[in-house]
Amino acid sequence: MTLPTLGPVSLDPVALDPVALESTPPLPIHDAAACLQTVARLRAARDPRAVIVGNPNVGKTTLVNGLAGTNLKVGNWSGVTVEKREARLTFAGRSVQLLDLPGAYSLSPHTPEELITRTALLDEAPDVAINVLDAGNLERNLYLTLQLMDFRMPIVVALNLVDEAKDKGMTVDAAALEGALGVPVIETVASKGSGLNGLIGAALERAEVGQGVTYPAEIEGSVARLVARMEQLPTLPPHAHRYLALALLEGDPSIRGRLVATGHADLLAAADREALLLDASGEDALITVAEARYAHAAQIAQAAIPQVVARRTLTDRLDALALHRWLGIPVFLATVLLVFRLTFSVASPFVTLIGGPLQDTVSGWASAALSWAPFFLRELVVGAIIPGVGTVLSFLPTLLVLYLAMSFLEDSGYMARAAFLADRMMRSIGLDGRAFIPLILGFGCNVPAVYATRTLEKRSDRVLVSMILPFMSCSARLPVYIIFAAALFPKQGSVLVWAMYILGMAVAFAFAFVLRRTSLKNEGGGVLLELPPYRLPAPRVLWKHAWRRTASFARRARTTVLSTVAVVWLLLAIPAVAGGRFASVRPADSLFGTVSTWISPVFAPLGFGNWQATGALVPGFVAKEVVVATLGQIYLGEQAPTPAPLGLFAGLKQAALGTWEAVKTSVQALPTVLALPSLGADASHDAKSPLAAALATAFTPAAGLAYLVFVLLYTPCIATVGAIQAEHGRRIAWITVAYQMATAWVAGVAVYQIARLFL
Amino acid sequence: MSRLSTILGALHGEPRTLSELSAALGSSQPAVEGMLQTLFSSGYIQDASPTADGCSCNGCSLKSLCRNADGDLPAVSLLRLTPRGEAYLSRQS
Repeated sequence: MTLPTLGPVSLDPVALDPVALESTPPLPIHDAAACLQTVARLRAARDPRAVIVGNPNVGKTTLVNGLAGTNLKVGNWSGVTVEKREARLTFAGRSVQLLDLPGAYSLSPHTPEELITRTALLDEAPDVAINVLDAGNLERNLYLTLQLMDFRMPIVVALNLVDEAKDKGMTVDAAALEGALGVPVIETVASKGSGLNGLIGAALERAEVGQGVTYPAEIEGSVARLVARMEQLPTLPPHAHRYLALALLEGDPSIRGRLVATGHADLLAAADREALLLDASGEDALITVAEARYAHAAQIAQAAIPQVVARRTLTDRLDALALHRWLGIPVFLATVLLVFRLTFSVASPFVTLIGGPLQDTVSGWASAALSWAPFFLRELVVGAIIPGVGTVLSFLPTLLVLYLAMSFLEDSGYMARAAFLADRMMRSIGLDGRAFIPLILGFGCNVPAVYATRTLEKRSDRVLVSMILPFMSCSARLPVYIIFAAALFPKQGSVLVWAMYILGMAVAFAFAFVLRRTSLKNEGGGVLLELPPYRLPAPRVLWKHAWRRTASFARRARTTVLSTVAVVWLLLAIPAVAGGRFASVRPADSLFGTVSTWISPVFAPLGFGNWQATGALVPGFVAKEVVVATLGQIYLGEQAPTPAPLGLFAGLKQAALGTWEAVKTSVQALPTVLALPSLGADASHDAKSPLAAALATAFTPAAGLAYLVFVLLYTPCIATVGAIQAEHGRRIAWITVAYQMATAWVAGVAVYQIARLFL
Repeated sequence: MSRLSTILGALHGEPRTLSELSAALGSSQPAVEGMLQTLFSSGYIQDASPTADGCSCNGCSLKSLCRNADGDLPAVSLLRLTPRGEAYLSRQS
């Protein structure tokens, strides 16, 4: 009689070359029973072998080190042991071999660690398994214990980390656990060496196979039939028959591969027949088997931990409010309002500084530097580029503060909660829960948000979200809100901006609701969110993110905005009336002014039917912040005299004085962040920027409000339209443009007509 | 209804957090994580979180504006049903 190994035949497909297997006839086994007896006798004569099995990070290696006095590497993170390692100890005069296996949550392997552990249990034929459990995480750990019991090998449980469990308010009843599992349970604190002597004694002398899970009758029937077949196959390790049968019914691909490689195709076919029978009877074997283990684990955990004094973490306490079914949304809205109030209070003085004294200084220097240049060039630089680009750049402090605050909310983990709330709301109106990702991205910029719709599986969801997300107020629209708020609603600026964001969301959700029930019907789908714990973000990280986003906005000012401003200037310089001269014509008589005048009656019902306001909306198609730049060009170019040339030192003095004033105002405004609007939280800007002062004269409050609503809702910038076209085709892009224009116009009319009754 | 079926049902219905699900099942949060892991590795549920190198960011010229492209936000794990999970649920109902 010849056997290839002393232990059970190796099933490792790597060890057994399939080509060699095909070319070599199977080794003859004449007397299987005698063979197994010989193996058992040889095993009894060798040193006892114990495997250490447990979930990751339960202290297995610490336990081995404590038992054997070794110095294996220990870490307090999961997955430190990525391969099996051995140690030896002497107990009662006997040498004992300890095999430290990698951490595994399950013996249905999906990670290399789990595969190593499962292979060792199959092939090493240990005499006993020491199953290390985290006492503070019993229910999850017991899943592996119950799976281990399917191996029908002697087991002893090391109930480790009992001290940490007590700190968590959990006291595990070891006797109850022992009774429920049917194996010895020894309490240990491996890091302190507590309970280790009793553990090794119990492992060698009292270990039991235990009371594993009794699966539903159909499963047990199939297992029994497969085990009966396996008993005729001496090449399979006897201790693993039940485990192998269950793994085959669960469709474990690695076990199937190994059995095929070792010539057990008949067994596999039998298992497939059993699986088909189960399937026909409505059983999903994988779910049924796993469910039985989880249910049994929960039952044992409840018996062993009769009372849990749950200690609520800070995250639990904060989530009770942030995720509250009714209070969650008001808390979110209040948080966003606080962000805008902070933004206004701290940044507005600097907006006035950049749009006023600093811009004047740069204009003065430019006038001096270009005194030699032709008139049209001086006009282009001093009358168009500096006020246009300068107006947009003046909002950099606002965006920096806003991005800092938003980064704080994101990095702290709060935005994930906000996303969850949004997810809930969206589900209630029939949107895929994941739609919140592109919609929240839309607050930064609509273009990447359109591309982010690719994460949605259903086409109807992708189209629907792309069609509504331009209503999300992107950061390019913020300068328009701020300048109008400063001009017309200086005491309620932050509330106004906040209201614009809320209005954008409300309109988007309303359209989603309507479209979902008409043309873009729901195709199903759902999500579950795992939320990160709250944390205090590092200031350096906040600054990095806020600065990067602000710098990105500034880059757009020197590219998109600069070029659009130059084109608008050109159109303002070209005369459209007889006798006009290039660059000297009155703006109203320019090509830009004339065309805008033709269009302006369309906006008369909205209260701003003049060429200046209408004209500024047109370049807004390029980028929404250009609306402000164009307003700056038109109103400042029209009203402001050409700045006098300014010397270097005079300019520096003017800039320094303005900066000092802005810093003082900003610091004084900080305590008002939490004040009620009526108490003047935003009232720190009595000194309006030149553009704000010009707008205050040109618009009534009702017309200004309608203008903001129109800017919020009208056609997204051309880059967004291009993205929608690229993703969903020209038809959807044009439909989006058309229905947003119509929506903006109707909403603007409604707001103006109602507001003028009150304002 | 069994725990795993309840979880699959939750993924199909109103969104829930892990702690809400844990309370509904009467199981500890780590145990529910284990159940999710089992369902995930067995192909009943799938990760639905966007990733920085996902198709949504590749080729986007404006990804510098987008925090999603950073990949260093706190992890929000989004899970959804696979066709296998949906098939299981429809067989149950």
